[in-house]
Amino acid sequence: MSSNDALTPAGADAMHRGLAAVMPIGVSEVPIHDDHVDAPNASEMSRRSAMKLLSLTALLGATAGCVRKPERRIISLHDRPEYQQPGKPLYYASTFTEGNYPYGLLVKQIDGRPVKLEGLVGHPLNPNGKSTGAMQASLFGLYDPERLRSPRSGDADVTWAAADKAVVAALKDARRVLVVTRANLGPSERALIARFRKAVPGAVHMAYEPAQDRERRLAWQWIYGAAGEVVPSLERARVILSVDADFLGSDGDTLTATRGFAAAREPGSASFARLYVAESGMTVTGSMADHRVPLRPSHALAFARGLQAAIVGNDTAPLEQAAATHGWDAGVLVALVKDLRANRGTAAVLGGPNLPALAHEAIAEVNAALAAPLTWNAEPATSVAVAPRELLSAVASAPDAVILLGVNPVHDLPGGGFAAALAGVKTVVAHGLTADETLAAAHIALPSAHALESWSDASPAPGVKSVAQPMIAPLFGGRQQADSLLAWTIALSPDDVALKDAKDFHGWMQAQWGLKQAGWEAALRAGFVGTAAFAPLPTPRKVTVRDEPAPPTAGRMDIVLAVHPHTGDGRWQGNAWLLETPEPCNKVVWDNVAAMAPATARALGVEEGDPVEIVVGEARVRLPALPQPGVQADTVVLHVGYGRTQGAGHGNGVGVNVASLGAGVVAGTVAKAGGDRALVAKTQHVFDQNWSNTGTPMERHIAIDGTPKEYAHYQQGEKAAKYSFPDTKKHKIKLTQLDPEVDYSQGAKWGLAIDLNKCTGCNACLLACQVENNIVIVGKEEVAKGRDMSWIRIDRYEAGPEENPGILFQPMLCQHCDNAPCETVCPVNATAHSPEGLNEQVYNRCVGTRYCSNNCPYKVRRFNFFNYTGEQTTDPVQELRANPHVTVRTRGVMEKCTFCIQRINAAKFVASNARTPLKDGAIVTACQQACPADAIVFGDANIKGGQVETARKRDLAYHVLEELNVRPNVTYAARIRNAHPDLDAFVPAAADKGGH
Amino acid sequence: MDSTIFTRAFDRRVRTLLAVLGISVVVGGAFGTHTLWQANLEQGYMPAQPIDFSHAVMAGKHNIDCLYCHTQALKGPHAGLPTVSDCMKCHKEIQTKDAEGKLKHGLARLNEHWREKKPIEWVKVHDLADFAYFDHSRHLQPHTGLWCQDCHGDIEKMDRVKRVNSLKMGWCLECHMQAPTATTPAGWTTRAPINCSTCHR
Repeated sequence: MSSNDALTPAGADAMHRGLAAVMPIGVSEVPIHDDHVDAPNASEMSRRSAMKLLSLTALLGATAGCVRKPERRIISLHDRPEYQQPGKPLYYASTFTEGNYPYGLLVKQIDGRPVKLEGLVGHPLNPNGKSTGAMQASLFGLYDPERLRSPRSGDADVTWAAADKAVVAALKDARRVLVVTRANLGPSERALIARFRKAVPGAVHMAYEPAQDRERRLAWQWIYGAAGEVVPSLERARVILSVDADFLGSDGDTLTATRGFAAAREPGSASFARLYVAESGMTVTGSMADHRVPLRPSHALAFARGLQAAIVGNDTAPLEQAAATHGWDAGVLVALVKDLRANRGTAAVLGGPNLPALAHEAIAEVNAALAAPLTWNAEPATSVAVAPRELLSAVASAPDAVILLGVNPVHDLPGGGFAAALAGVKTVVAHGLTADETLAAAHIALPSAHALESWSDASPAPGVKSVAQPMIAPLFGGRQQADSLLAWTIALSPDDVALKDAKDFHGWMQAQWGLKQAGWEAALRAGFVGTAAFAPLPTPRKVTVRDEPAPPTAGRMDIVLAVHPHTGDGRWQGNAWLLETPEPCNKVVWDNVAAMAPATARALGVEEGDPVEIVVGEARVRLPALPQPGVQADTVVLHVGYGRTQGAGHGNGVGVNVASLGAGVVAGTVAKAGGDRALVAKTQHVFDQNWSNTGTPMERHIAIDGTPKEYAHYQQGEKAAKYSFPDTKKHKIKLTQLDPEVDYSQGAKWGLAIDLNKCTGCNACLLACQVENNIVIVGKEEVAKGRDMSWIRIDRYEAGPEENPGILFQPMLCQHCDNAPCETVCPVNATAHSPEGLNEQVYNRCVGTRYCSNNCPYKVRRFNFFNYTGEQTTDPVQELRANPHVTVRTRGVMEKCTFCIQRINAAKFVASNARTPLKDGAIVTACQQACPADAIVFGDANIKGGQVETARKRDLAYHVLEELNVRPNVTYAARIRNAHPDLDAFVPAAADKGGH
Repeated sequence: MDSTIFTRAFDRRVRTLLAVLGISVVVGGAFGTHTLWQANLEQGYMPAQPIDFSHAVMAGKHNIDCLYCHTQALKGPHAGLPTVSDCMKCHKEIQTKDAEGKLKHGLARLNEHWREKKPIEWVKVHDLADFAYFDHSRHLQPHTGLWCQDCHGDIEKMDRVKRVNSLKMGWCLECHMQAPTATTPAGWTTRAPINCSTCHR
């Protein structure tokens, strides 16, 4: 029967007749039975078949309905926007003003919308153009559907004019006004606040931060005699000691520190630095340590004093005594003192934000004695914040008006009590991106413009001014806080000519900069002016009064209120990308937990997820426990900023607010609390895989490390089995190759190389990939089911005793195997190999069998179990956030790392259109671009002497699971733990026993 | 379910009917889908546009080069549309009237857009699927020997633009698989690529 017959009624009839004849066989599940035989299943069966038929009919109907694509429009604009070419990216220099350090920012804009943020090459703060994870993810805030869309007075939406009028009326007869901002204001904003205070004589300005290293900044001021900040030059260091300073993760200028640290971590070179870390929690810095000593925060002063005696006073007795009392590994400390003494001029000690001032003083003297490679920033970008108690009493003293600009103290004031204090204030004005707790408590709530919609400037160091320019008109009718302040100041002091001339903050800033138009435009184009002038570290003052702090009370624990490496002090709590990024050390997402030593958890009788109650004075909080190897036994680490209730969108109801406990380190008690076990979602559950130096029965070389001694043996050709270094020549198992050999010597052959010596596990690559490749978030429950979508995961391996394990981070992504197991099992050819060695995934062809993922030995494929994109494709604002150069995936589709194929193609097209060869380094993948440690290189492995070929030729280079003969295109360099020669290998130290 | 609700004969008839109906739907649906799959609903698509703009007049009669208006074709992925102000560069002067002395309809509309600073929303005729990435600049390189008309048809003869080619993957591959080798700047020879990530990413 031809298809034409089927469409004619006659043909259809014939077909039906023919089918009716065979019906009893075709639908054999419908039995023919007589009246007396009871057949309860009969109608059940027919109903089922009827349902099948009905659903099939519906499906076919739906298919027919989708054939004609909907009409789409293509717009002729009235005028062409400057420089803009449709579909082509435009890059603007700007400054990252949301964080504490104003890094240079390069904003990629396509068709008028910012779609990707990167570091600005050449900027004084991050000259290599690298970025933190938070910088990458801050794009989320711009398109956040949670943003406030209109000024509000009480519960009613009002116009900006009405809101301004109300604010000005409240300020006009106010005698005492309190203006609260963050501490990271730029010079132009500070100048504006000075003008505001002139217009409102009773105004007081306070810079508020919920979790600043305030005590340390004050200690430095006390020690060095002037306000400023210590800036380490780690690239000059050969021995680094961190005393509870997470300088690679969450403490201070992490980009500068990571850049310096990575530069000093070239195995085999003369300047291969050794890192000692004494810390209470488990941080990425501690994970990178060559020798790590768990240190209770209360004992940090004894540690610093002992070190001071050993280095400055040449007397190791106090340190040895303290080590014996507190159970520190004496062998490590002896090696440390030896190392520090032997490396005068290239040894540095960094003190953490929670150390007592006296400990900083001891460290300062050690650094002075060592002539440490540290410099001094006399004008840091952020000012020292006000003490939380001072802010609270200022608000509680009932001023006439309180203006809160971009702060949320109702939620995060350490110690709490802000909402109650606000009750006595006549007018509360709050400016914020979303209707958060503070805006909800305000009389007048004003929507802010996002940092990418605002003008701003910053002064990161003496001699440098950095400028931030708006990338898009405010999406939700917001106004930047400085513009509001300017409008009010103009209304309150109509005689101020300079302000009137400025008109808006843009004009004010330009006037403050005092540049002519050409100079101003050049500054905008560059993103900054000047070069950073860091001063040598001042000589510490001799302080005579030695104030001994009270020793910790017995039975108490040290509660560390830590800044989260991703969501920070809570300022990115509404950012779903950052919430779903696993905490680097315990891999927890969407939560803050009470991280404690496994022994402590056992003593308390709790397991992962069991609620514990933490009591500090009057305050008590309950949150799930997490036994975490490496955390000091008498310490519990909590992350601040969680437990938002309003205005955080996806972040509402995530975690527990611990602000009531205070800030920094507090003494408290921890006890098992009744109640159900909570779900703690982690992206990794097993940490002790087959990577130890002794080898395992499987001898699987996944993450490889070793000591310099082992490395030397290896280099000399002693490839004994006990060394876990790679022997790339030997394949343990020869697997059959199904596909014919392919010659990749012609043209390009893409490869990626990752140096495990440099990777700090900071997750910047992961977030860059997320933004670049439109990777969705799935939420806590889905992550708990193992359905996280991130194309890169940072595997963390732990070995040694649980009190103090040795850590190895290994970024794992699609290895683009030339003999790919995924390709052979795809029934629809949705994953195939390109002639340039890429393992391609074709979304529109994928039918979602998941065979490929099952057959992948690296487990790097990600499946869309649901339509996770959700509103990203239907909400007209969120839609703008997606990178238009990457397909947005839907339900039922497999996805994975593409080696940033869009970037490869873009670079190839540019080179080819210009008839020039593609240069090595012309293609930079998103992860490589972001990596603050420069641990990733990408390029054409066929280029002789190119980055990838060089990385592959290193004797440390190996492929993961090479014995499977899958021929991966990602090369890893094994990590050398720079163990002190006296200690021979990485010897995990015993834990700080505590001792009271 | 109690089977005594219906008589046995009726039950059998209903079941038979349902089965016949079901099977005919399946088979008919399969044929229908196959037919629709083969048929090319996109080809020949010729929607009405908000302004009666004639390529036959502009590109045909007046012989204006495509790139004069579609300025980005050689430079980037999209050929680009002229902005309203681009149109008005000429049409400020050229305000053709018809026999009755009235301004031509399209021109009147254009003037309206210009006065009100209102963008023109054209109906997209050549609309690729979102998962396919096409780059005009790549296809207009000298070595390809391609002209606009090779894909868009005799556009200089069209009053209203019509899609003459299917723009389906098979149609793309027809060229890509036949295209001769070319020498790249790096010195190796290549063909028009046919691997997936050429267009899908």
